[in-house]
Amino acid sequence: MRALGRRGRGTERELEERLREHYRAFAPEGGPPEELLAAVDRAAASRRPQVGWPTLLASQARLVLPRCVPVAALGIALVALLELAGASRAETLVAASAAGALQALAALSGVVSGRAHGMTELEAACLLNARSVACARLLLSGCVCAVTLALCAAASPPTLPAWVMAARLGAPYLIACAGGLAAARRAASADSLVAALVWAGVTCAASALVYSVTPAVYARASDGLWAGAAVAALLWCAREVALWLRAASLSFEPAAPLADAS
Amino acid sequence: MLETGRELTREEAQEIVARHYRDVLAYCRRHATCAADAEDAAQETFLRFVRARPRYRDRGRPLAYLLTIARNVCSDAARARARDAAELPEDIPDEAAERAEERTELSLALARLHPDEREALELRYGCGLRVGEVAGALGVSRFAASRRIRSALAALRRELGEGDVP
Repeated sequence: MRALGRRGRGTERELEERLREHYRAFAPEGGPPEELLAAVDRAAASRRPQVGWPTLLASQARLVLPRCVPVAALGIALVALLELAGASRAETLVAASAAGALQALAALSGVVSGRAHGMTELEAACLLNARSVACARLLLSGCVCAVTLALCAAASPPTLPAWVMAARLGAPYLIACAGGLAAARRAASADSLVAALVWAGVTCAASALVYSVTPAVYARASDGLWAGAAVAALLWCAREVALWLRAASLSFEPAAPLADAS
Repeated sequence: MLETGRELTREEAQEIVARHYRDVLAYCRRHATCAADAEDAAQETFLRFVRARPRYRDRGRPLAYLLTIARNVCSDAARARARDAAELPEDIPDEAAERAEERTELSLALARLHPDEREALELRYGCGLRVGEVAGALGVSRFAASRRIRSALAALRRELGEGDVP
């Protein structure tokens, strides 16, 4: 056995050496052409202007905020109005969770618009690549949504503990965001915006529909279920955000097989 | 070794081109249809490297990063060729015919391997990359790259009629 093992390793080393010799035999002769050296010299000599995160966030805020802020204001106003009108606890919660999903819908429209309009390939070649742009849009949308959900929670029944409110408002929002990103990433470029919006819309409708079918889901006994759903949705959303950023850095192009001319 | 996250000086850029041009050109030649396309791909690779230098965060050798870029450049060219397939010339280029004549038993065995396996061997033994660098160039985990190289060697041995060796 030992002899066979030694022979095997010897054969493997021989094969590896044959491969190295084979590739060396096809190695080109000569150095780089003068025109390449000149082009590289010009490229190295040109300096790019430095753009930091504040500038990038400010530029993306012009796109993201006009979409998110009106929807946020609408959701907060709806919840506050229901509370002032003396609506039941469950009705206010339904409105608040639907507002979260609506907020996700508005945020997704800004985040995936670059892919939907075929701009990521251009963004990838620009000074600020598609990954930075996507990251800035996600950050801005996330901040607006967090403020919205916090204000919706403040406007909801004061008898509920904070974690219950966070779970009930956060779960539909996070499911809408995660599913929307997943749908947009998997759909063809032109259909990605529609796919994201359809998912977020369905989540929004489902959160209201579930209450009408089984009102018990908004009862106090289901707090644990909502908390579990919110945690699972948070993990899913974090994964989808990471995948979206990775796909943006690759311009959403799947790795193509190489043509082999040898 | 180069520092990361800063732009190249002109001297550093020239040095990298001089040191790695042959390796990059050899890689591009194996994935281009003719010598002129390979030279264009090699040139594009170095220009992208210099332009993308501030984003280069790999502390490994520049060759590994250059070959990753070369792979993308060749992929782009292959996609463009597929799009323009109707416009491709029907004649086989002379260089390709000459190379075909030069094929050895090992070349033919390599040609019969799966393209992924062939590329892993090429990066490992043709370009001299370490397993981790092969993984980076192929966009797979280190474990997957190691497994791919091992299975490629086993497949090559079978193609060469040497059978499975434990």
